[in-house]
Amino acid sequence: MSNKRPNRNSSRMAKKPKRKRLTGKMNLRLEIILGAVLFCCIVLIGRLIFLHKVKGQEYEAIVLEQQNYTSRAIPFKRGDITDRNGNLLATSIKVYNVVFDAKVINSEINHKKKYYEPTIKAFCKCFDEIPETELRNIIDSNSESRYITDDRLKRLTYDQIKEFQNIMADVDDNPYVKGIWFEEEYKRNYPNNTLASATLGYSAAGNVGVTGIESYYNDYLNGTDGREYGYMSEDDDSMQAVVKNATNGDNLVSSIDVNLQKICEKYVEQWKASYNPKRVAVALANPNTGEILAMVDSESIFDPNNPKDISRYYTEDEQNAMTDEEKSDAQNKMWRNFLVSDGYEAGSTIKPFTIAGALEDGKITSNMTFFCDGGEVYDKLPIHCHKRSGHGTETVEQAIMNSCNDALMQISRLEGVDTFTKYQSIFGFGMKSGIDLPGEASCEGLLYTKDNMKLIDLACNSFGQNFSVNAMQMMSGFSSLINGGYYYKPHVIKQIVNSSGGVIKSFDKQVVKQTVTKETSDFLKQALVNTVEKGTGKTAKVEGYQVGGKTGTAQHLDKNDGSYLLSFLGFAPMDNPQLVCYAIVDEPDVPDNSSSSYACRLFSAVMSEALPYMNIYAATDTGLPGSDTAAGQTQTQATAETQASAQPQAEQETTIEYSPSEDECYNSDGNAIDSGDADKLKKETETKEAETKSEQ
Amino acid sequence: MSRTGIVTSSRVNSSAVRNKKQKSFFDYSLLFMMIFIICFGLVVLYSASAYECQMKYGDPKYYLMQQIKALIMGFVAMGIIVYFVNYRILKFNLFAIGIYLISMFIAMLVLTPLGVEANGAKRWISVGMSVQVCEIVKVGLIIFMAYYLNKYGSKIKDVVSFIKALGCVALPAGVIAVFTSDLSSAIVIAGIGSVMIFITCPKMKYFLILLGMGVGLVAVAILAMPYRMKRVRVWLNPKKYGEDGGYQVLQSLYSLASGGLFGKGLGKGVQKLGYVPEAQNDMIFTVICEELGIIGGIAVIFMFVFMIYRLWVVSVNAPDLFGSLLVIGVMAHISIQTIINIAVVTNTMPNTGVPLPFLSYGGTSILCLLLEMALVFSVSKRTGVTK
Repeated sequence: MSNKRPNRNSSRMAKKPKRKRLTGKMNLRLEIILGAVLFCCIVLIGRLIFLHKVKGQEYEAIVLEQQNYTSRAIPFKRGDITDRNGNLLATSIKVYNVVFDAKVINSEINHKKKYYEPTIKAFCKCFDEIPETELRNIIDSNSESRYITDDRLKRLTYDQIKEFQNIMADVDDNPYVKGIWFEEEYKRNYPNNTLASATLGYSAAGNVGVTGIESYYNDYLNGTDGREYGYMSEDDDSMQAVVKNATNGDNLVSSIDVNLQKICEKYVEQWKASYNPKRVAVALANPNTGEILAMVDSESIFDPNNPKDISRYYTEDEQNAMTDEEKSDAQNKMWRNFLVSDGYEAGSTIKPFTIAGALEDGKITSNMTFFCDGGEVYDKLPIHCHKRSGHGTETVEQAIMNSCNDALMQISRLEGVDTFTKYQSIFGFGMKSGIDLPGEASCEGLLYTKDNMKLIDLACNSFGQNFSVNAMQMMSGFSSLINGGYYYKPHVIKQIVNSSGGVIKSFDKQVVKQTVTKETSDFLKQALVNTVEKGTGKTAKVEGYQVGGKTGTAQHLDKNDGSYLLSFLGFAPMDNPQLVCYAIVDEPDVPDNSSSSYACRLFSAVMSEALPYMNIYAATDTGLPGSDTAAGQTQTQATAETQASAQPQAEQETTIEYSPSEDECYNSDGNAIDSGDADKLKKETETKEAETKSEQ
Repeated sequence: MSRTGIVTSSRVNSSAVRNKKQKSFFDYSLLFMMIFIICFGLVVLYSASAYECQMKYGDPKYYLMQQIKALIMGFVAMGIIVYFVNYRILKFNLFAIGIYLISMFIAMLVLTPLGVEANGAKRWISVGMSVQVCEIVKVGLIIFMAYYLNKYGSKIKDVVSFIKALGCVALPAGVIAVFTSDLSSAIVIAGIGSVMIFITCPKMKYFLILLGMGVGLVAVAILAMPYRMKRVRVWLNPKKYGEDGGYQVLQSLYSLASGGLFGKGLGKGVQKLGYVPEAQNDMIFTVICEELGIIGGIAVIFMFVFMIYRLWVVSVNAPDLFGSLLVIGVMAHISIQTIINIAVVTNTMPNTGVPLPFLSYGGTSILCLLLEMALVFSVSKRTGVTK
């Protein structure tokens, strides 16, 4: 301590008159102050230790109790999802958990338990989930607890608790019913069960959207919990509460139309039952806005109210035999929306895109003709047209109508790799279409690039083989082909509306780009209509309507087992397309499994119900409208072509030494790459020149 | 050992070797203690305020960032003062009186449109940032009283000069009490001034009289003003007067005592989640005790005791009386606020709002404290120079 006190003498040190310093007296005062501060600190430390020793446990218990009772979350309501007409697709309904406050029930007034009997009696009159003796037991054995719940009394609906709430509210008749309250919670509910499940997705416990819209728009759908703070007044058991209200989530208005969805699902199920294909999928969209109106994939139908149930696809026995991992794989497969998340080879439905690209860049003109001799040979590898005897001389339009592979290969040859890949990217292949659903496949790695595309790849790509697309890319691209060239971003949500009704975001139309000119679009529209009227798509006709579209029979090349994905991508009505429908039937279990008519008829069935529903009525003139000059021209052109192709072989520069083994069904437009044929054929690999013929 | 010898050893203190070379004594222990308390304070502040910030601003780091901004400004100012400014320039009449008057002028700005009203009282002015005026007045008072007492301290030998000195303290205290209705800060200001007068005033007798008068005055004030009486009642029985503020007191006591010996763990306290109001502010000590336990709370008290001890060492070794008085003022400021704050949260005295130095949230408070500490270091730096 001695070194603390030296400065008493500092005055002695500071003998120089100029500089004043702390005097000894001042130092003493300062030490008094320091002592006082130390004393205060010791008192405070003593006070702390006293509080800890004497009150510690009591206060710790109070803190725990406060947590249970007075600071409780007020749950927010997750936003609703409705269809375009306001029909509920997903909603959250309030449910109630019963909470017993045993301390209140057991509390004594003038040494009598006034609440106990009346409360239990009233409760057991209204609820039979829990036997009276058991309830008494629970309340007696936890007589100090303020928060008792029971699993049997959780998530009750309003109807279930209404009677008891009325009793509690009626204070005059039942003054002694006290100590039971209801904790609110929300439960996600999908009133239409499996309807549009793949699009909607589902929301797991804790408001976590897992797939579909529920996942993509999770942040909008969720709000923030409110909280009720407060404390129990020690004297009169009254609750002093401060309430911070919850902010409910935003509501979503979907572009889906429940009725169209129902129509699609009906036929998908019919097709699935009749032909036992691996998969049936249908999607409907509005080509003028990019709105998806309906979407079904037969392999991803589940009940979002009970999303883990796979009994639709597996029998009880199969399920029992599965390991947990297999089960979860099966569930994931079921939640996967094929139309968005999977790439596949589209087949001939690509042909209009190939031709559009060639027309746009002036590589061909619409009045050119091509000669189909049944196939082409690339690197000694013959690639057949589905009609091995050949279609003869065809116009561009006829090439689409006949779904002629040979003509398309010739067109792509004229088009060249650069233009072809350029238009693949203009039409959005290999890129996400940007649909507002999670897990979209871009298929980017499954496309050839300018640098690695060989001529044979170009040839195959020209009719939709050897590269993958997803259904959303197909529909958006196709819509742009027939609506005058506007590529709209596909979407399933029209509007986001906050809980008080204000529109937060609106996604009406989002034009991403212009893909083709109006001329090309008009030409293709006409060609596609003729495809249905007179070409490969005859079975897709819709009684009373003028529809257009393109068939597709894509061989599963990766499987190499002669299985096919059949599809039809079409629109209606001719003059003002209002609806695009994409029907896919994958590997039907039928003998003629390469016949695209299975998809065509599915398209026809869906459209013949969907069009009247959309208030698009059958044209009075069901035939080809005579006033339509484009159609008239085509007709004359077609006849001219038939005459001109009287001596097709003579004009051939190359000779074909094979004869097609069989004439394939006219309606099928499957192609075959048959490497076995290569040896049989001694065909020049020289490029065939397209022959052009003036119309005049 | 001869007394002079001891004096020398005390002067140069722990860094004797260094002093021989540099001939100056810089109190690194004090600097490191201060930096440690500040960093510790940031951790606790984040823990205490994250929840409330998340609810209010959607950003759990909001208060933390505000505090860090003020700290950066404070440290920059501190560096400039310590390196370039000799505290002795404050001895000039112009500076000392100027700062004193300006600080009070700033306090009176709360009456102008610059004043910001919160909870029914105008204690802030807004000039790009919010400034709590009472903190500035405290700095002004410490500088002025050091100047005044250095000059006239030894001459306070009669009642008139004693009252004059008291008046110098009463003026800013009165300004704060009247214009900002902030009695707590007025008491702190009066306390700082009284300690400084107590050190220099040669006549102890005046002080005992003053003390007696003060106690009487306080008693009269409490009895005469019913709302002050209520506070005392709340203090004596917080449970009974829950609605009059007892709730806060109780919650802070629950918080203090529920941590146990070593606490619930940093960040794991629950009382700050809406129970203890303004947990990051005057009540931050309760968060420390809840999360770090009684041991953590005592450790914090020891940190302050050590800091006050170092301030005392600097003050007794200061080269001149003015420097000593400056340091004593700062020491009084920190001591008084620490003791009142901890006494309030432990319900050892009636509730009054005083922040805990260096730990409580408040930009002006931490900035002014750093300025005061800069003066202390400036004094400490020049300690070894005298021969």
